[in-house]
Amino acid sequence: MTQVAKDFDWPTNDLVYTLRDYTLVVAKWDYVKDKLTSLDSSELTTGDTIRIHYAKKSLRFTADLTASPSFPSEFHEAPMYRVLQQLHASKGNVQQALYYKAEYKECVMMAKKYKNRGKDDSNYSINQHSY
Amino acid sequence: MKQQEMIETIQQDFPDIGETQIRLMLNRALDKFDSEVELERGTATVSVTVDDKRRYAFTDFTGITSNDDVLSVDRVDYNNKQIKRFTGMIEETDIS
Repeated sequence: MTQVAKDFDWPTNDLVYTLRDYTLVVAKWDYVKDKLTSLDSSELTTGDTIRIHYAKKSLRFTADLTASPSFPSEFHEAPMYRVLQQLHASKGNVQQALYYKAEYKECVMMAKKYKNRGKDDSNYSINQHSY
Repeated sequence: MKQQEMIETIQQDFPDIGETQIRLMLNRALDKFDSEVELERGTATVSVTVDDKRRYAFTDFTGITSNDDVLSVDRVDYNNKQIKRFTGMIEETDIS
């Protein structure tokens, strides 16, 4: 098989990816040997690129007190509620801890809804099937 | 909401807890929130220049400085075409 990387049809079965040990594996599936094999030099062309679409961590706070979380502003209270929940729980203030836990959970629920509407550029669709 | 506003709000209830400690707790809370929601997304690329190479660390990709920055990968393109995810077992140890 030659020029797999440039000429494969869509959708392809022979070029695949998988995740192992926190690394990305991109390889061909060898149907004869039943194993993943690397692309060799005859199948690579200058400018070949791999692009990943991924969920990433938001920015972490540093000593810059003017910084805000990098996710949308309607969910900024979430980490604060979580901290308040933990601190109140550690002081034995059960009612306040439960209140802030509920506030945090509401932020998580709203954020999941926000994400599933696709405003974060992710794709979320329900495929129709006939029975 | 700025970090300072969060710290001041928390210190209204807990005035004895310092800024550094609260920042540490806020960052741990951000870790939890990120892992629960996976709200932020991004794309990153790497040039394929070496043959007989299958494994790519996330830090090989542009703009990713730590493997921890990647929470999950849900799509991979090769030359702008989506490739399928291999879900089988790799029986031989393979670290190429």
